[in-house]
Amino acid sequence: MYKGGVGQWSWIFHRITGVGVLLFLLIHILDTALIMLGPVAYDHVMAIYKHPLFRPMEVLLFAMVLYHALNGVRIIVIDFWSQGPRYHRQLFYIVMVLFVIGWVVGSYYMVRPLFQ
Amino acid sequence: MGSGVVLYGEATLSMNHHPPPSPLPSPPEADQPLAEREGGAHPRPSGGIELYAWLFMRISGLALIFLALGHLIIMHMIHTVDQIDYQFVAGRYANLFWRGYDLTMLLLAMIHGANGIRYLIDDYTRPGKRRTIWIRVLYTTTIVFAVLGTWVIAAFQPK
Repeated sequence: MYKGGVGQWSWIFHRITGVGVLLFLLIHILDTALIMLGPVAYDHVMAIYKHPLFRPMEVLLFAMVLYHALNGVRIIVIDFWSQGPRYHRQLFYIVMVLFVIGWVVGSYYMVRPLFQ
Repeated sequence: MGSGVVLYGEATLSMNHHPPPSPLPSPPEADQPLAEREGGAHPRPSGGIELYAWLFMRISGLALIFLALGHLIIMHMIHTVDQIDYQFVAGRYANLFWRGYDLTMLLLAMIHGANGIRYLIDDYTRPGKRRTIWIRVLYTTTIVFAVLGTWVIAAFQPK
């Protein structure tokens, strides 16, 4: 059994966020497919997404995509840069800093309509 | 129970197919081949279809960063969910560029996601009937959703 460390957490989060984003993608394919039934059906389903209770879900989805993207870059850097494995810990901290900044800024633009 | 021992042996081997990265990877030697280093999501396969799958995850991943994050920024930040309705999509899909954008993103994401789930099935199930069933469910689901999404993107005509 493998215990603790930055590598293990980044790996677990990569798997969880990957599954989460994929599950949403499947739902998103279904809701978009309703557009084939016409404006009434599609706009009815879109109204559900526009409910204020869905904003936290939207912000969470953005967090999952953003983490998976940034950590994916970290994985590629570790795999293809000869010094990558040596600096994997520093790379993770860079990922986390970029994640927090990106998440806060992006989420602000997402929830902005709520305050207008 | 001789078969139990064999099963356990198989399971142990298979469970290490996609191991977590080493917590403290030793610095690679200059003359050490890239394939033998560890530290990424999982070690680079030495060849065959698994090497192509490994490469595909990285290349499609890079493309999806621009496609998916671009999609999020355009649809959720520049526009917001409040604006998206039938008319919005009809206007957007009047431009063939956005259909191509969405189709590329859809297919890359479905294959990238399906291969990711395949890694999970390899890691968390033992070889045998159950794994075969899970893999079949995965492939069927992937094809059904990819075809459905492709059909919608290609066939949608505003009323």
